[in-house]
Amino acid sequence: MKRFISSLLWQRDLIRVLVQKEIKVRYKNSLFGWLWSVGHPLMFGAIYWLIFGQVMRVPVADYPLFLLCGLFPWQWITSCLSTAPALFFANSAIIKKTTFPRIVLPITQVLTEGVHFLFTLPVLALFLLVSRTGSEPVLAWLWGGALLFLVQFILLTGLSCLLSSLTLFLRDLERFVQLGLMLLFYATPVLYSPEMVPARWQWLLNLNPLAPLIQAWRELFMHGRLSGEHLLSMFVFSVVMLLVGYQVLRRLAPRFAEVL
Amino acid sequence: MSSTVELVKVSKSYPLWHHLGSGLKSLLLHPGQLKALIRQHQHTALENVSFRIRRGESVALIGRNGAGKSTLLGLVAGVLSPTTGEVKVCGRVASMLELGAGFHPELTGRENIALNATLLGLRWEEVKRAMPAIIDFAELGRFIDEPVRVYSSGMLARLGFAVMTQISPDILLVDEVLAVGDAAFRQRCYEVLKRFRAQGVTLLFVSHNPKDIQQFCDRVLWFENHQMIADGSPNDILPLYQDAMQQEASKK
Repeated sequence: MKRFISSLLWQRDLIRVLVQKEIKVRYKNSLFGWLWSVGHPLMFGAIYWLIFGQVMRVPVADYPLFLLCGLFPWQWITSCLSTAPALFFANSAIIKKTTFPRIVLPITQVLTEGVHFLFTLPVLALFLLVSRTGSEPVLAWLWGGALLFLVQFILLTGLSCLLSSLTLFLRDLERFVQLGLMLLFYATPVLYSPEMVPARWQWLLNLNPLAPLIQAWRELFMHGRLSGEHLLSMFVFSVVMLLVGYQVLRRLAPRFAEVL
Repeated sequence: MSSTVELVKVSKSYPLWHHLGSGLKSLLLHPGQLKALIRQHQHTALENVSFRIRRGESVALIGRNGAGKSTLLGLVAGVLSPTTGEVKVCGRVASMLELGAGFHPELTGRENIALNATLLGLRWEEVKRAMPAIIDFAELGRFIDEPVRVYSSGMLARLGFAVMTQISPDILLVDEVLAVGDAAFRQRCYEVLKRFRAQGVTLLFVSHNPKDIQQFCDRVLWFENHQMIADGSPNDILPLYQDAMQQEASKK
């Protein structure tokens, strides 16, 4: 028991060191560092606003804000899932030599991207304040944000475990992930509001576990409230995803060093 | 006499996964052949290897490239699992990482020490405590705060070895990492290895240098064609090994 706890504490230290490493590396050698994390969703926000807001005239109130509130959390999802397939390849040197529990790597990756997401939030808050149509900063942002952060962290860790382990054995998966992410983006109400979707296509949103998550983030940012109805089901789904991902990783982990 | 490492009839074969990984197409086109594919394409890295190493022994693994030495270290380290047979390891194992393997080129020497030492099993506080001694041993001067991409290979080796000096494994695996570094540094590495031996640490290392083996090891395991063909003292085995290698060279 004592041994188990000390091993857990060590894993925590390891994750901490690895996350610090990733963040330092990201910000050390790039001139714009932090601006890249912000620039990406802002840039896409501008493009989508121009195309869908100005050209196609999507009838959504506060469209620029609406877009950004979806794009910032989406950025966390996409940066995790697009790099997950390469995760173990990128760390092959340490996997082949040391026996740390492999789940440390997906956790590190999701946390690192989560920290970047947190770093970008002040910018989003600034937009909300400036636009004045959004809500005033409220306390709900803190606890609501923490809850959603937790749910998304669990969900992404599960998915990352699954994708990173399976890709070692089926390299084609990386291509599928790129395609899948694009599909998922359009199947998630980032560019449009769910009410705009015709009834016969609603099932698409109901199938997509990311749809309620993005909606919840937007609801929180724009209206300062957390809708409870989907939160529980999202939480349950995320935990199930994590269990599935972890089981797959655990089963395949003894073979990682062989295939790398 | 307690043994720290024991292998009982261990074989290790790798299914050649890349046949599967190379594309879903072949898999989809020939679903029936899948099983046969996996079964046929096996690469044997070790065959029926058994030995016992007692606590505090220092053992050299010799043999040609591809004979299975690194696979053996992988099995002892626990990163690989045997196909058949049993690997019993008692105690904390640490592998010396390949040159710079656990290092990130953009991080400074100091940051890399923290990373590497944690990977090798140290807790955060232990890393902080060990840091001065590690920096001391590495003797990198002001380079300790430079990113390691500007380091020479000798400096990288020094940094890697310096980290090892501060962890206390029961079994230390060294895979041809002593070949780099200048004479003075090698001398200090040997001193550290000696100190480890004096403390009762079991050493397992792959080496191609007969001199090193003479100086450090009390036992040699010789691998050829994925099998262990000899087990004995350096004095007995090394001449045979060198003869074999010379014959090989003159044949070519």
